[in-house]
Amino acid sequence: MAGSVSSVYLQVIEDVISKVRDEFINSGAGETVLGELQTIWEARMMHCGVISPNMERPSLQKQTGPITPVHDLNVPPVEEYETPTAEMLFPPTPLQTPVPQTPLPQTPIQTPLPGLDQMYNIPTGPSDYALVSDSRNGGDMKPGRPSPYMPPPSPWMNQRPLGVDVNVAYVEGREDIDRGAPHQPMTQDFFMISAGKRKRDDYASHLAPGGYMPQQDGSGDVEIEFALQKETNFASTGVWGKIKTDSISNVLIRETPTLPQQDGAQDEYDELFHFQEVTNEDYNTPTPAEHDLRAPTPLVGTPKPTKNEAAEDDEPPLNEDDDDEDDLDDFDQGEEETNTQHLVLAQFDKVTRTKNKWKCALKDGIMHINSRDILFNKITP
Amino acid sequence: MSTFELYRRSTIGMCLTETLDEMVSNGTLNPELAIQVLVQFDKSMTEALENQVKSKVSIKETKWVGEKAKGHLHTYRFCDNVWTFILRDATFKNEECQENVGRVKIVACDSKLLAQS
Amino acid sequence: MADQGLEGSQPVDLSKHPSGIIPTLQNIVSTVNLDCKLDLKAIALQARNAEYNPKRFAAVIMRIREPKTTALIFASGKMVCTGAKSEIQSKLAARKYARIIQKLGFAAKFKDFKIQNIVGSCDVKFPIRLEGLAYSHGAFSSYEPELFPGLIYRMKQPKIVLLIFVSGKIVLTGAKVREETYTAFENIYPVLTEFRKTQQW
Repeated sequence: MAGSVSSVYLQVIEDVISKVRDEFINSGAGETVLGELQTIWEARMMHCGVISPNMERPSLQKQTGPITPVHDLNVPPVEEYETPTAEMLFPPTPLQTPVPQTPLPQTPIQTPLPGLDQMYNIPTGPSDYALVSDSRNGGDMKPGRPSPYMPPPSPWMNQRPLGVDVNVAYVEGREDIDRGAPHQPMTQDFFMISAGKRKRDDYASHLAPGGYMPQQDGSGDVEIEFALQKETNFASTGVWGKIKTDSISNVLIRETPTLPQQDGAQDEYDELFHFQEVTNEDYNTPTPAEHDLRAPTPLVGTPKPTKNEAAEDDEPPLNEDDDDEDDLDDFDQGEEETNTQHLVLAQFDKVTRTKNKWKCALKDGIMHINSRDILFNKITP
Repeated sequence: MSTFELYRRSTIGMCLTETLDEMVSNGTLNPELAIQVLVQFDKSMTEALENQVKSKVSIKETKWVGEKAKGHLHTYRFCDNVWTFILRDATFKNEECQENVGRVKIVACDSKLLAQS
Repeated sequence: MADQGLEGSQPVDLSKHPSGIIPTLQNIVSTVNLDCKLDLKAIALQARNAEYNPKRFAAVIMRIREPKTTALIFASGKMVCTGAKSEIQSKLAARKYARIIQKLGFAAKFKDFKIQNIVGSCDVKFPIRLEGLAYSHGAFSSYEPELFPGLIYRMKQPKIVLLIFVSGKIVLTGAKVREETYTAFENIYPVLTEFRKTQQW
């Protein structure tokens, strides 16, 4: 496997290099710089152990420029990491703007090269998305200290070529901006690599005194199943995800009986009669009609400010007794930080949940598990 | 063509980002060009996974002797068309190897967003 | 509330439940006003087990394990909590959600908590002639087996909707307090016995 992973990686490198060559030449950067890019990139990957030095190359390589000694790679001029200005960070079109990546001001590139463990130590929870700086460590990364999670900030990341970024939020998200909500809406580009500078301060001010945003946990003991799109069951075409089969598969996947038997022997009260409960969710973008049918709009209205049988005065203010037990989970952060972070990056075709049973059809993924990279085409049951 | 930046978090993506960072920092490379490289990487990586990778992997719950252990979904999140799952006690298996992990994070983008573009 | 979950293990209070059967509460729907505007995306990004897909539904869907419930959280600060098995559990869950929101930095309060619906069910353990029942209680009944296998019985007092199945399984919904569920069942029980299907094969 390792062989094929590294050959895919090498091919990706070759592909990238060859496809940006014209740009490099036209912009005056030239072949030498391009060669340097490739050399350093590959050197770093060898260092990480994902490609081996004597791998066969998919195509002729050009080794322009000497291989920079590894220790030199990590001594960038600190000045380059100056915190960008607010204008740089928050250009006027927030939803289309990737979050600038400069949360660790003055942090030089990790020295020495980060091991994979470090590289994959991407924080869970809020930072999956929100580029909240990690205030668990007192909110500030000491200059010179390797970032535990992220590559160093890059002001240039803030700049952006044209093109649609599918990772940005929907336009609908904009509504939230106008709602005067206490949090700044976090418009961000999820997969920019380094952590974000943005809103760090604002954000911190909303944090609980404890410092960081605890993860609040939810429903439990859930089964999850990574499945191919039902194709083993009833579709042999193998074109799931290409053609619009969502509605069909939805019906079939849904386990709640939609056409109950006429004998009336309905044992599944839960399934049938949790009227307002969202028992089955299909996360594929529905057509408007489906939307109307399936959106879990509550039958009941939201509460009117009426006099209530439980007099408000009797209601104790929210307090620690209302904490969810899973809060405790938040404090096993130590575990998360010290352990290798195993990570799977993939695309989903379909994610459905029926009660506690999840089905996730994932494809085109890169896993980093127990310090090794595994590429996959599909996750099968 | 739109792309996911998702894969920049992989080993190869991180190595590239660091390389670009370094080259931008020391003035070897201008930022615009660096971004174009990253965007090209997004495309190339996506294509490579689509076209060159055929292997399948299964995720199962780690089985403990004498215990029916369904590796469980510890946390899920769906926001901005991205699913994040944290599984506990999962076993990953492909043709060649099997790996157990106590905790794994899965980040997945909606494939349809690529298809639409 | 005290008798919740005790059926079968404790003698049924026949003065309250002459039928000897106590409907089991299956789902409680409650609402509460957190009385502050919420940034749903911020919540979805920070809270665990949250889903937010504004294209489909303008609320964050969040779940907790104990009490096992689902909450729909709206930007207005209104929240709906479903899935609890008792009023107390529903309120407990709603308070937990409110607390989660509060801990995320919103000034969440807990106002106007209200049980909006109680769904109960039980099994009379004998089959029922739905056609006959529908015919004789035509004003309250709707029975279209081709559309839905159960008879829908809209009781006026208390105002409860009952789903009555051939099998003898009954679902009662629409109660704001559980006594309405109990009363509705006691009201219908004699009718059910009247239309008890005698086994012919």
